Amino acid sequence: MINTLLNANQDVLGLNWRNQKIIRQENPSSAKQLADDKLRLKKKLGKYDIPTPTLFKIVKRKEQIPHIDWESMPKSFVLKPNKGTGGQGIVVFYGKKKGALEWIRPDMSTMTKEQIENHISDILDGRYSMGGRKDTAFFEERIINHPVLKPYSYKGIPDVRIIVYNGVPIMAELRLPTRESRGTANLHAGGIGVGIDMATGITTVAIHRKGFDLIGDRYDIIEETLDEPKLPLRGLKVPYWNKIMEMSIRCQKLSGAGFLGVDIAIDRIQGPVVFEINARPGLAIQLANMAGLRERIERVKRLKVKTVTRGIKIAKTLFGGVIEEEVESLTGKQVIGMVEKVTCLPAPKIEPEEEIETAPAVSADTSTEKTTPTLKPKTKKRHRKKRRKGAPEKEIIKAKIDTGALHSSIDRKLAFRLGYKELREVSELFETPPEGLNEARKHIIPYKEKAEDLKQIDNFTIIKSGNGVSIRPIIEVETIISGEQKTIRFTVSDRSDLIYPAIIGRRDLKDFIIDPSKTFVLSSLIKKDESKS
Amino acid sequence: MIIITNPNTLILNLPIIVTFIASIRYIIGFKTWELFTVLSLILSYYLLNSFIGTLWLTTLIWLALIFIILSIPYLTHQALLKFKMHYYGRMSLVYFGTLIGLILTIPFFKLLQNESLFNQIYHSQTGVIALILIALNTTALIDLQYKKDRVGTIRLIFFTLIISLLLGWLITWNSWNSLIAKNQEIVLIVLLLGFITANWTYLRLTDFARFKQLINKTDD
Repeated sequence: MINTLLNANQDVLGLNWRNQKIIRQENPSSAKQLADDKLRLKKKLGKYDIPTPTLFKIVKRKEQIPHIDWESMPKSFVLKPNKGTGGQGIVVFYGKKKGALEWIRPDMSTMTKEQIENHISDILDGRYSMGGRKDTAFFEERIINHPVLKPYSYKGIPDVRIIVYNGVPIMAELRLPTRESRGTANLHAGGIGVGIDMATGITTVAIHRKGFDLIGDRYDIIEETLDEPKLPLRGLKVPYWNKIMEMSIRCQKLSGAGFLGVDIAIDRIQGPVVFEINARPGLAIQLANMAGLRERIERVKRLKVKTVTRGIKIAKTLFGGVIEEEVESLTGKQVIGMVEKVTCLPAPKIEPEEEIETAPAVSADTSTEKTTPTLKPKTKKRHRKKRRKGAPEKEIIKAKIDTGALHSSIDRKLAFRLGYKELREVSELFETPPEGLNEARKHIIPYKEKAEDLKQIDNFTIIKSGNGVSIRPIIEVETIISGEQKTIRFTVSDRSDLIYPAIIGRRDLKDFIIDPSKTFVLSSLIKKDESKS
Repeated sequence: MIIITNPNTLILNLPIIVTFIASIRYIIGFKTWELFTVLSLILSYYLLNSFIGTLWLTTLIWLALIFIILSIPYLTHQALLKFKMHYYGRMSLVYFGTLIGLILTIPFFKLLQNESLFNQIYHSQTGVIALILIALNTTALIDLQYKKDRVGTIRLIFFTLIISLLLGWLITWNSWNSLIAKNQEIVLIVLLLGFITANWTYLRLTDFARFKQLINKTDD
């Protein structure tokens, strides 16, 4: 029980920690002011070429209201309070009544010019602003729903909320408007929140607010949209995912906030546009992703993220793979990319060497040396030196996942480093390859016979490739791919001129699912960053 | 330890009740309306209790008065929502609703058939202040309509009433009052609780309910 409570405190970001340790410490008041002032934000984003909905008109004073040129207003637009919160006071107009100064709302009701003027007056009076302070009203372009997201949203614009911390997008959710939320994407109002896998931009878990609950907003996990047509919410690929991540990082940098929620909508023509930024983003996003924000914050806290591209790479490496985990749990197969990190373990020793025999003796020595501690360090040092010099070590390499090849192949120098020393005995195979298939068939016979005497070489095979015909030794290497230990039968060739020291062919890929979009980032690079900072 | 001789316990209770409100918010997670609202409701309970004297009757009358005084301006506001008008203009009309609410308390007391209580409350400054303290929450109630949805509003009103009532009971409880009058160091202990609450960064108890699925998953 206590363990659960302590673990929860380390993983889940609660309101207290968010307010005290994150917002108060990492978000300066200038950043909060910018987030609360939509017009100032629009101007600033424009300076940095970050797209936002086009601004039509600003109304600052009541005296300006009678002078608004309604005839020149477009058919569809959005009226917003500058400092409004939670979508309050925002009115969307989809069209205009023919021959009248009357605009149509998403629920097909209309608002006359006079009614809109009254609404503007309310905004200016501060009815929708924080603390009831005087406000400014403005008209802006209406975003047109992207065709991919349109069927999932009920009469409103869905948006992507990305939480960015220290230049890294750490969590994201797709927010979908519903009939219950009256077309707003706000989860609190009854919208749907769908978690997004950071690596792929594919939706994962979906949540929707439970009915009346005295304790607070609690959420149910749902599988389908609430309104017709009922569509599955998992597995939807968010368009422009990389662009969205890039924009969110740029927004965080220009805002000066350390911890920021960026709301990005996807327009049918313009693509992603920033709706607004939030210096105090809500925490329900954790449920939509079934992951704690605090744990993610801790992971990127000490990183030095210099570029936007690096921030995206880190996000994909550290917080991606939710979809893969789901596929893996369903199929029992690991998901790998086109290039994978492969750990090759050293070759098993042919004969027990002296070292092994002496090993227990050394340990025995150390046990007896308990009474004579001065001898202990010397023995240990010698032992370490011996191991470094003699025994081959494991090699971590980048291997190409090649579904076009049947056999897996490894570079001979790498194989030698791994301890396959018997390859020396057939070194002529790499230097003078046979001139044709017939010659290769003749030559291979003595090698096959020889293979019976060799312990490290399993067999020999003839390989036809773009470079001609070759006879290659086959060795069995213990490898670890994506956490799976597997014995792979590699053909050995000279790959010193090629990019990858090994390729994994079809025969050895039966236990894996290949995802071409999976990016390969060596975690050692991130570790290096951590250690530097 | 006595620092002030014969203190007014209401003064000693003031930081205590605010600390309790803060602890309930940040450690347990139950939010109340604005601090002023809670304090005004507690004070109105305290004043009404000075006339009525019994716990259950004070509670009943206090709740009934809140309902009568605040429901009329609420209904007025709801009716006016259909008409587009200026915010402050609407608020002035809403306060006419408050006045009607206050007037409607007269038949309520008649209904109780307690003439002396009616006279005590309506013909003393303290009694009228108790009613006005309740009526002053009209603005907060209307603003709540703009800030929160229906569920959020009900939740806030519920916890505000419950917490105000609990703290109202506390400050009208004679044993408690004599305890803090005699042992004024209790205020210092509450001050310590105030410091703990002000720096509390752990999950609120309600967060455990809110993130139950996530915590269970992490635990697995």
